[in-house]
Amino acid sequence: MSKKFFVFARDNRLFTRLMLLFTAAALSVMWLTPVFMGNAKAATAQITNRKVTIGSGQSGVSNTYTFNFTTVTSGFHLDGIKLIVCTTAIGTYPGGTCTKPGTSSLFSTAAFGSISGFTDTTVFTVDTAGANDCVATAHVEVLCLKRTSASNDTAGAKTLVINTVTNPNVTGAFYIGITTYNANNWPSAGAKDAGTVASAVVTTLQVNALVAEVLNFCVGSTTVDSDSTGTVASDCTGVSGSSVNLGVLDSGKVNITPVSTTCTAADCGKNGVAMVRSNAINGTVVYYDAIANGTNHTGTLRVSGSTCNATANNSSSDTTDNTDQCFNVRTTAGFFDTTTERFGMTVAGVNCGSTTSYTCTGTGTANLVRASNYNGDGSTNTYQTTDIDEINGPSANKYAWDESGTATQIASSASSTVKQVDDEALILKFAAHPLITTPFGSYQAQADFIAVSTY
Amino acid sequence: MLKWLSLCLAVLVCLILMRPPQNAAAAIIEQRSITVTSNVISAVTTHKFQFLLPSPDNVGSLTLEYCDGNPLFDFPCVPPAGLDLSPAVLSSQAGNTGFTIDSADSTSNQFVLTRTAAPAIPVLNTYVFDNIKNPSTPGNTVYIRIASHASADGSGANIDKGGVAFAPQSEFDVNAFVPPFLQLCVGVSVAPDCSSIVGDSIDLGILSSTTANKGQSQYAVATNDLTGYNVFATGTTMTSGNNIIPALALPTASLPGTGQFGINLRANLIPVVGQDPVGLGTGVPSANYGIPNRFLYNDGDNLSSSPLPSNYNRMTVSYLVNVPKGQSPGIYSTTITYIAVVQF
Repeated sequence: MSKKFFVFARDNRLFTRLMLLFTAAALSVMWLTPVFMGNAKAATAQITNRKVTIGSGQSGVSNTYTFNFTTVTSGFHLDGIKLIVCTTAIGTYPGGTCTKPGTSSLFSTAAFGSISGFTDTTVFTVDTAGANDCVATAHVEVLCLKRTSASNDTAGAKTLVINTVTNPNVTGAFYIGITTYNANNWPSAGAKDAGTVASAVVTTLQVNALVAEVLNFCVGSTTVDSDSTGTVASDCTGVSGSSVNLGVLDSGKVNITPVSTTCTAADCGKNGVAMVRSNAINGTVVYYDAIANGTNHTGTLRVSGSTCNATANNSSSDTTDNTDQCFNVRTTAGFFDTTTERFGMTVAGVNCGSTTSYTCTGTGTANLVRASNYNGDGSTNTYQTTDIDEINGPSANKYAWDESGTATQIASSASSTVKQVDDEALILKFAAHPLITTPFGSYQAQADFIAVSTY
Repeated sequence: MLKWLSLCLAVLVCLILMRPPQNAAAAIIEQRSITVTSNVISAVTTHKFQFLLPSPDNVGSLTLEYCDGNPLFDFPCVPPAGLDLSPAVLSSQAGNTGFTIDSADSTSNQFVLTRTAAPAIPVLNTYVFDNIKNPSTPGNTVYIRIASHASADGSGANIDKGGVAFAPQSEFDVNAFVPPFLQLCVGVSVAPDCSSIVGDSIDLGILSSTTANKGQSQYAVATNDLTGYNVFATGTTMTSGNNIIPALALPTASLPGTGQFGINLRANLIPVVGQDPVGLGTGVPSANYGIPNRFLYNDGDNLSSSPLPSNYNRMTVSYLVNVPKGQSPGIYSTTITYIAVVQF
C-alpha cells in the first residue's frame, strides 16, 4: 500500500470506523455459518476409496448397486446409513440441494442386499419413511438404512449391496451420497462419515445385423469314397461333373461305383455327390427324382428312347422282365447279388471333410440323416468299403431306386438336433447287375436332385 | 449457388429423416420354403411355396421376387438368367386364399398376387405355380424374396418378409454299358450253361435195314440280343463217296428198311433217342424239328430260335439213319455245322 493510503486512513475517522465494522461483520459470518448451516459438513469425515458398481447401465433398469468405501471414523455404533441420488455431486452433500435424476422409481423399491467389512454384522433394513436427515417419504431418491448394532464400528473398508435399484431413466451421470450415522434415526448431529460416488446411465448401443438365408446345393461326381477320409471340395464351387459311370456290366459281377476295372471314360472311378450348405432353422431335405425317358419304366437305368415291357416293378420282389432294355428296380432297399437284374442307389455315407461350423467326423455325427431306404447297409453308420468297382456279390450296402419320377427323400436334417448344414456331402453310390438276357447297349439313368430348406 | 446447394442438402436430409422405415418393422415370415418339382436348369416345372405370415395385418398382396444370389430386400434384385415366370399360372392355394396373379404388376421374375385386403390368418400358406421356366445357370442359388403388403399391387411397406432359396442343377446321369453277348456250345454233351463240352463226333455203328440207327448230340445257346437268336444247321446228308443216304425233306416217322437221314430236337420214343429242350431261356425248336418221332434234315434249316434275349437253352439233337437192304457198303459220314445268328 502506498504511503498516501495510510495518511488518508489516519486522517479519515469515518473510513476507519467502516473498516472496523466490516471486519467485525466478516468474522461474525465466518464463525456463525456452521451453526446456521448445521455443522454436519464440518463434523463428518470424508469417506475414502469409494465407488459404486451398478449391474446395468441401461436407462430405467432395475439392478443391483454395490457400494465399496472406507470409513475413517471409529468408536461409534454405525446404525444408520443414508443414500441419496442426485444430478450433481454437491447436491448429495449433507445440507445440499438434491435434484433427482429423471422420473424413475430409483430407491423406492430397493431392498437391502448384504454388508461386509462392518465390525458389527447386524444387517440393515430399509426404512421407507426415515427421519431427521433421512426422509424417504415422497423422496424416491433417498434410501434410509438402519439397524441396532451391539458394538462400535471400526474404520475400514466396507461393502454395501442394495438390490432392485431402478436406474435413472435419463442418460448421463448421477451421483450418490453416502452418509453414516451413529443412530438409526439419522440425526444431523450423529453424522460421522460422508462421501459421494458417481455412475452413469448410458445410451444403449444397439447393434443390428441380418443374416441372410443361405442355400448352397450342388450335385456332381467325386473320387472320394469315404465319409471320414478325404474332402470332396471346400464348398460347392469345387464340385464338378454331372455323371458317373458304372462301366461295362457283366452278369457275373455286381458293378458299384466307383468303377475303374472296366471303365475308362472321364466319369469312371467316381461316386456321385450332393453337397449342402444351409442355415435354414427348420432343416433341409434332399430329394431325388428320376427323369423320364422312353416308354414304360421311364425312370430307370435304361437304353435311351427304348420301349420297355409294361410289367410293373414290385417293391418287394423282382419282376421277370429281364429281357427288355430297362433295369429292374426296387423302391425298398436290398442287397445286390448276381442272380437278379437290378439297378439302385444308396447314400453310402456323409462326408464332412469341409464342415467347419461344428464337429462332424462322418455319417454318425452329420446333421443330414439318411433316409431308411438310402442308408448304406441299412443298420449302421459304417461306411462299407467293400462295395467298390466289381464284386462277386452280395453287396454290403442295400440299394434302391424309384423310377416313378416322384421326389424321393434321401436325407434330411429336419429331425436333427442341429438343423443347419455346413457343406455336408452325401456320397452317392450306384450299383447295377445285368442278367445274361439284359439286352446289350448303352444304358443311362437320369436324376434330378433337389434340396428344400425351410427357414 | 452455395445457398442453393445448402437448401438442396437440407431438403435431402429432411427427406431421408422423414422416410418411413419400410423394412425395419417388417416381421420375418416363418416356416418358409420352396419346393420345385424339377430342379433341372431351364425345365418348365412347378414351384410350390409354403410359409406362415406372423402379422395379423390386412394383406392385399403378396410379392415373390426371384433374385440371383441375394435374399436381402435392401439390395438390388438381379433377375436370374433364363428364368421366366410370364407363362406361369397359380394352380392352387391354401391358407390365406383369394389371390390371383396381378398380371399388370408381375414381371418375368416377380409374382404379384392380389386380393381384396383381409387380415392374415396365422396358418401355413401354400401357393403352387405351374409352368415356370427354371433359371439356366446350374448350381446358382436363386433366392425368392417373399413379402406381404397392405396394398393390392405389391407396393408400399412390407408387412412380413422373408427369403427362400433353391439351386437348379444339371441333370445327373448314371451311365453303364451292357456288352453284346452270344454263346453257343456244341458237343456230344454240353452243360446247360455251356460250362462244359464233351465230344465232337458220333458213331452210329453198323447201319441196319431192320432197325433204326440213332445217335445224339447237344448244343446250348444264350444271347442278350434284343431280337433273340436263330440256330442253323448246315452240311450234307450222310454220304460215302458217291453213295448217299437220302435226307428227309419233311418231318417223317422212322421207317427202317428205307433210306432216311433226319434229325429233331425232342425226346423220341420211336426210336428211343433224344431229350426235350432244357434251360431257363426262351429258345424253342423250330416247328419241323420240334415234333417227337418225326425227323428231317435240310441243309441250312433253322433248328431253334428265340425271339427275344434268352438265357441258356440246351437242345439235344437226335439223329436217325435208316437204310434199305440194298444200301451200298461203305463208311458214311457227314459234318454238320451249327451256327447261331443274332442281329445286334
